[in-house]
Amino acid sequence: MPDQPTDASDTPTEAPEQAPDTPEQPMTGIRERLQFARESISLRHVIAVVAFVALALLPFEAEPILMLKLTAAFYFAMFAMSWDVVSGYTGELSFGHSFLFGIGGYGAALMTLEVGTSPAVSIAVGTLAAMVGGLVIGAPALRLKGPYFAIITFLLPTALLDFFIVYKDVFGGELGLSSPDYLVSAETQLTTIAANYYLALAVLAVLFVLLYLVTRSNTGKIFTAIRESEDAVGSVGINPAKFKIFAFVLSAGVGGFAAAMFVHTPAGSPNPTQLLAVTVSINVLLATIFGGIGTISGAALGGVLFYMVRDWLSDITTEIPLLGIEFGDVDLVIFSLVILAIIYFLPGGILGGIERLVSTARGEEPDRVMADGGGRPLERIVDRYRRSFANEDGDDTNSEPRSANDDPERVRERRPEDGEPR
Amino acid sequence: MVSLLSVVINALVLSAIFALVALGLTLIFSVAGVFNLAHGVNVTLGAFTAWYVATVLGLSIWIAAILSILVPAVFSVVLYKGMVQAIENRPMTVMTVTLLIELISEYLIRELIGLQSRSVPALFPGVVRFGGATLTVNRIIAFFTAWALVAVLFVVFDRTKQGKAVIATSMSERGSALVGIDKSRVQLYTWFAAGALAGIAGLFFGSIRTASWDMGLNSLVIAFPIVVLGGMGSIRGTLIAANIFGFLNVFILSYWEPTLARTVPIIALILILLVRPEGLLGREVAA
Amino acid sequence: MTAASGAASATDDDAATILDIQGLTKRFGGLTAVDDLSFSVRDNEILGFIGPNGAGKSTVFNCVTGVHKPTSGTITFDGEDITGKRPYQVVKRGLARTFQNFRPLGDRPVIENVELALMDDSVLTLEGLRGRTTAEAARICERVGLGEDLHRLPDELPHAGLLRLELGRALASNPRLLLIDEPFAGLSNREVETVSELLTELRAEGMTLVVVDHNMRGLFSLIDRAVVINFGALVAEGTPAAVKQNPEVQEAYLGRDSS
Repeated sequence: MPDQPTDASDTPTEAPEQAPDTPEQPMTGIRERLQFARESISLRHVIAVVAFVALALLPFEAEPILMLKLTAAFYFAMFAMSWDVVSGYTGELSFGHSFLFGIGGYGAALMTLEVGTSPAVSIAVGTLAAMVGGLVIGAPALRLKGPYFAIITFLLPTALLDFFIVYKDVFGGELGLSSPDYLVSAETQLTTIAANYYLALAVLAVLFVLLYLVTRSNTGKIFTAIRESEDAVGSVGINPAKFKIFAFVLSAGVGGFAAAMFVHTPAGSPNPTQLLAVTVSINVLLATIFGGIGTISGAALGGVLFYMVRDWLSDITTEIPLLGIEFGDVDLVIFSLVILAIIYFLPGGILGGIERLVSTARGEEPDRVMADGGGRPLERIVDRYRRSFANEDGDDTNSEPRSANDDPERVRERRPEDGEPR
Repeated sequence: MVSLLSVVINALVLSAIFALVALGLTLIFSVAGVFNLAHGVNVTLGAFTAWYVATVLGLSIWIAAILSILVPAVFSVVLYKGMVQAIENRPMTVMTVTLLIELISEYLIRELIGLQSRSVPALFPGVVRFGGATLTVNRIIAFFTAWALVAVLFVVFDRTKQGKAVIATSMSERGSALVGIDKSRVQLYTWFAAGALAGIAGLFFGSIRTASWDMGLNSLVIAFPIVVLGGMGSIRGTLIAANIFGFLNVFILSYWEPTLARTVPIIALILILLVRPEGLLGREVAA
Repeated sequence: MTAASGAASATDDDAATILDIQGLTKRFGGLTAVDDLSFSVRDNEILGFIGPNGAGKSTVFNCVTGVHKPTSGTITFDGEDITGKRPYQVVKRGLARTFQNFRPLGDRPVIENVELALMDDSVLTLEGLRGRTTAEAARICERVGLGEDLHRLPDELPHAGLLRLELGRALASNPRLLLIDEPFAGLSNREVETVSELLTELRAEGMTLVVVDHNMRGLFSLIDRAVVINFGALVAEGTPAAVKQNPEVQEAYLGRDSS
């Protein structure tokens, strides 16, 4: 029993339908679950491997411009994954992750351009700077309720952009900085583009595996437990603040690293549109909801697809009837409408949708397809905030479960103590 | 150098308009328990409705003014009925959805009208001189109208059945349901009023400053610090905070770096949330 | 953890103290919920912590487990001052509790709820990918009588099941002292018996238990000693029989013993 592996691929051939004898009751249950996990993970694995192989073979066929676009799409997918770690897993919704991308990208670019360090050193510095930024964002999240935290994150990139505009001599204002040297370059432009393409794909794969492992480990389960109830986490001897901060720093590290790499490629440069604008934060959120929130794989898939589909949309010059606007000019509007539809009708995103289709076709219960533990993350996050607001209604006659915070001094919980003395 | 007196008068006028925007936000929060990030759309709609009716269609500014109140009010109600009501007990989804609506509207307006600013004709043309400062009558009217509306709001909450129902709902949803208050009707009143107030603010912004495609998000950026400092759901707190941020805004614009007029309130908001999240006069439970 | 010992030792006055509360006071604004309360819990006993509704029992619990910061007073657990420590720090030292209003993680099945309590408080681990804790969690679930419900979601459990899950969750953090908040509320007689048996068993294995209830009736046969409080202050302390005879206790409960 102790050796029972959770890794689906290692699971021996015990069939779940094997008739359980009484003492084995709990074990059978576990096997059933493993079997169950195997199926939904394997579908993801298939999608991931097929996509990866296809993308790896693509440069032999593709135009350089497509490779450049895909390079940018890969970095964008890393942004989306970094967002998913914080918002999808711990449930602290961030409307302003571009704050972190901005710090990482601008920080690294300035090192190369102004200080004159090599791109590799600059990227390391940019990543570290972003991680410090993650601490800055993470600290208020320890004290504030989700909606207030979301507002702060929403406004932070705007404040940073204003700062960059005021000090445009250093930060280049609205236009951004000039592109620093590439991290990898070759003799011909075509080879440089291909090399950067493979580099981006490799980094995406490595970060994906890293985040996938973290979120499937106990750390990931504690992240999602925080999303459900910080108090429950504290009450079993785990410090929720530590894990929250870790999630923020990890997210900032991944996002900042991606941004720092990105500005050192032919596909990206340190400017507000690509790194810092409100739309970057929102796009990351849209892409992850599009792919499926709280799964990492959804963010990776959604990130690449979102970028490419938007790019495709923006080239469409057909006019929308009546309005006289070209489709391409309102690509973000169209995408936002699609996301609204997903929020209302397909909370699992497209990955969840595909899995639901597959499992329905197999005649399984379509409800529990998420590999990482029951319920759809979007719904779980939503629940979390519903609870945080429900506190205010004063209809909670026993203060215990909710006021039992890891920090009793927390200002946000200042409600009358109605548990015992009445 | 602009004279201090005209800067102060400017600040008073602007604060009154900010208050109109912030009041709608805080009313919706206290009744519905959600942040309406699409509230900025109402401001933009108010301004551009007035501009379109008065300048493009060439109709009387008074018709424009009435429509600039009605259109956002109706938009606000439709938004509530059509999108928010279905998810109203999921505040975070409401935030995401309303933020998307805000961005969609902003982009559509940018595409339809373009990047350049428009100005709405003055309701009352002319200027008066006052102690060395030159004032447009329009500003004076805006100032007094805004405060008159605030006074009306107080009377409504104090005296009318509907107003009392709104207050009761904001205090305790369950309690108000127990005494027979129809919550969904209260919601309608609130979203309608919030839309109308923001529409008037948009009209005044448009005729005092200009109407631009990004005015919605920009007024949201200043309205949030106001409602948070005022204390979510507190009308008096909101009025005081609106004046604090109004003065801050105008003084930074006039004497310092214009870009920072947007940045300083953001920094202030973060500090307020960390130090005193219940705001100036907020009910503590609302934190 | 001390070796299993008999019930008799718990009533021994010389038994070592595991939890010591001295002069505990907690005020909320103008209201004094706990007023200069002192008592101690002896190693390996089952202590009944009793008081009418609103007596301050939960507030005491909350102060001990770090949910509230005491206004004054000290709380010593196993010789170490834990006053004002955070909940997770208290649990790590071996003092766990159950909550009267259950708070399971609704997104995951019973077994994973228990598994959470088995996890290390360490961010730099890939532990959990191999399922080491799963078997242990299953064992604990079975122990508290949830062997059949491992893969149910908490929402699908009956009231008694949630209570078992609460117990399982608390047990999984491997406590030396377990505070149990109203374990019998809403249970049928048979369920009360099963839970009592489990608690007795746990004590036999060396655990110390404090059981809160608003009356003593259900606890009488289970507990070694009782501490009775009212209005946040100590009313009586002693064996169940002695406490029951105490006139002040009878007064505190006059007309209140409703259940």
